[in-house]
Amino acid sequence: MLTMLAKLLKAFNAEGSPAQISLGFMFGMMVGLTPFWSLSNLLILFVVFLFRINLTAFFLSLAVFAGVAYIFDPQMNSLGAYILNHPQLTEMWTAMYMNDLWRLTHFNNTLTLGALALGLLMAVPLYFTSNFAIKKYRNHLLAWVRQTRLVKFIKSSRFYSIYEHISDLNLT
Amino acid sequence: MKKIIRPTGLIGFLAVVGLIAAIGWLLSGWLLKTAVEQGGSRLIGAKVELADASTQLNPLGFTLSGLQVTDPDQPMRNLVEFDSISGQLKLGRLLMGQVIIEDLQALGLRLDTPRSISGKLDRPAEPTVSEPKSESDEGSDLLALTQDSINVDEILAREPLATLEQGKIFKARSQQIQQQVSDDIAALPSADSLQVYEQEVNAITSGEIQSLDDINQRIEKLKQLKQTLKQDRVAIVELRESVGEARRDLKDQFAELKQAPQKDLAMIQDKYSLEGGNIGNFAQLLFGENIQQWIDKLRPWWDRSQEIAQSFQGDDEPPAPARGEGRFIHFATLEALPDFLIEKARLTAELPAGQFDVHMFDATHQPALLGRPTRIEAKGIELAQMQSFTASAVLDRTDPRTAIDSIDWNIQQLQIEQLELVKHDQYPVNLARADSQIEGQLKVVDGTLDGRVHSLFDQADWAGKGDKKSSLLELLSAIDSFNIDTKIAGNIRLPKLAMDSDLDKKLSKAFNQKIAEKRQALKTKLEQRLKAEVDKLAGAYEEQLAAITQTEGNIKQRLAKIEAMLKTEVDSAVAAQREEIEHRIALEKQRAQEKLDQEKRAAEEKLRQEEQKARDLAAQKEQAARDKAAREEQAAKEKAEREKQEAADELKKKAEDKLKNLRF
Repeated sequence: MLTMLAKLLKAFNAEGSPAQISLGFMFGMMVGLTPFWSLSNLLILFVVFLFRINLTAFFLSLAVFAGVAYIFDPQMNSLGAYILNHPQLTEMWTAMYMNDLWRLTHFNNTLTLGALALGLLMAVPLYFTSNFAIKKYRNHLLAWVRQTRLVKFIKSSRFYSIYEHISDLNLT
Repeated sequence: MKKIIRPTGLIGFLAVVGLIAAIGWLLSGWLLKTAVEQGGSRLIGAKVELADASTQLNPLGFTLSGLQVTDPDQPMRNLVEFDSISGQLKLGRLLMGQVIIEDLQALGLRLDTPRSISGKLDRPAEPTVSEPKSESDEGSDLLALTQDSINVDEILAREPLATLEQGKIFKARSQQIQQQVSDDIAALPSADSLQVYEQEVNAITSGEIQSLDDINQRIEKLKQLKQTLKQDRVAIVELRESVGEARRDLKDQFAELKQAPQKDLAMIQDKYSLEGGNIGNFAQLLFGENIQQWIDKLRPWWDRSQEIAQSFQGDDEPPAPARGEGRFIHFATLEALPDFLIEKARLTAELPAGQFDVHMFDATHQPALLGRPTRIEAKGIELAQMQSFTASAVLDRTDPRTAIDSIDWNIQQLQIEQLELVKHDQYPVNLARADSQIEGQLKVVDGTLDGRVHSLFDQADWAGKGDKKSSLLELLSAIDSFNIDTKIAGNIRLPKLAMDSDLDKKLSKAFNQKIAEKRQALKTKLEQRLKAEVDKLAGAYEEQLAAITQTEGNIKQRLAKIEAMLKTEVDSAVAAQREEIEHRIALEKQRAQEKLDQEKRAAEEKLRQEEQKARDLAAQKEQAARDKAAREEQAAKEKAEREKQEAADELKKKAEDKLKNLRF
């Protein structure tokens, strides 16, 4: 059981560059903000798995922004309603509404569109911010963190030893 | 490229998606159950419970078992209960966020079933709106009159009567007047006092007058006595006025008391509808309440449907969606579909009257989007109390501004049993049994009712309670068939029923005569009782009036005596004195005259003697003697006349003086 979990964690942490982690955060945010059962999320999930994007960061970010989405649900609803009801966009929305494929994306749902709009607005800033933060962390804080009791405790666990063993064997 | 793409990612993706789908599928039943219970509870406002929910893939569908929808107004009763509800969904529409059920089968519908636990949700109670009194209540008072149930004693005990109140006031005032008059009479000069006065007056005016001083003294005494008499006269006059006023007051009070029964009778007549026109509309009186109750049963359903419709359509701001769900906004399209639609549904309902098969088409909470009204067709299958039942309804809310609902129904050979028509503890009237045919149409436009129901009743039996039969029941027993045409108008909250029936022709004449007799009998009883109350006090009034009259008589007598003493006594004294003086004057005159005659005779004798002497003398002495005699005679006459005149004048003057003195 521990070996399986270690392999899973390894798989998740395989892509460890700042860019990959940042992309994980970014896509996790977008999925976390929007309602889970949507075509857009399925596509994002496909992209995340297909491309080398850090899965740990993705799922971590998804969990965090799911909580954020719960808190800001009314505001995102209002944003989505505003965009959908905007007179200058009605023609476009009507054309999309008539297409079943677009309907599958639930674009005409206030929460979906509002969350997506917010996610898109935050995507690029979040990517660069997290990219910068990860680099800074690795350059300045990582060494200190490794010396903390918590990390030492984790490293002394059996699970971590299996994880290291798998990493050494490069079994991903 | 190899560095960018993760080769095993696709497998991972499929694994994750598959896992999620598998978990979703495994939990779909639970999720559906939760969604139905929570969504339904929110919509209804009371607990919605589901025993089980399951889904199927091919075709995509669901089955709900043991659905219970609590009645919000009666938490221990279910509004509806279903054994099972199954339906097939359109997958494509479901993925688009629309729940389109192609074919819904709801079996085992039951209404108003008991619950084992309360289905109340924790939410604030809505304010209750008091419904206005229906128009049939006035008629029930009239019907109650015919049941011989109105008791005169009860009415008199229950109602505030002016007769009794006025009687108390009259009695108190009467006693007050009696006391007042007694006190005033006690203050008057008594009969003994008057007798003393009379004696004094007699003493003054009778007896011989001795002298002028005597007269003066008597006059002085009379003067003082008269002063006292005048004071008494003033007191008696005041008392006379006071007694007169008391008499008038007593008369007025009694007159008011006599009018009080009429006022009470008018009040009771008005309150208990003892006057007025005939009862014309028996159908309205007998059946109006039952029809009203049926409409009252429909009202909550209509209210609920209005609430749901208004929450999803119209120009008002829609309610905020639940967290994590959002709201779908629809745009113009050729084939617009709402978020939720049941294209076709079939319900089988088990009701006490039998089994019913109901088909429903295009049921949705967004009819304006769909563009088609909801249609319902119902038919009785295995009916216990009727031969056939068919009904159809169209609920047209395609225009958000207007709600137009129409219902048609036809019931053949409905067996009516123990239908309560007149509620009364002692004299109820029930339609024990009848076979009826009922056909009706009702249209509801924004809550405004417009409908007509035609009912035929045949083989009717009527019943009361025990052996007691009211007048109404006796008359109804002769009728075994009748029809009723009901027009329904007004508002669903305050419907107006206008009923026309051949019951009126059959019953009205005999019934109105009966009720007129009863009205008159009751009126007569009331009049007698009220009059008896007045008569109790009439005797006392008559006695007191007689006492006052007697008192007034006494006062009049005393006043007359005093007036007589003041007037008559003074005049008689003067007259008596005057008579006496004149008598004296006459006596003096007579004496003076006698004296004069006597002197005249003496003078004549002397003259004759002198003449005799003179004759003897010469002719000279005769002449001289004659002259002397003549002179002497003349002188004597004049002296006598003077004396006489002087005496008369003197007496006259004295009498006049006395008269003047007495007349003050």
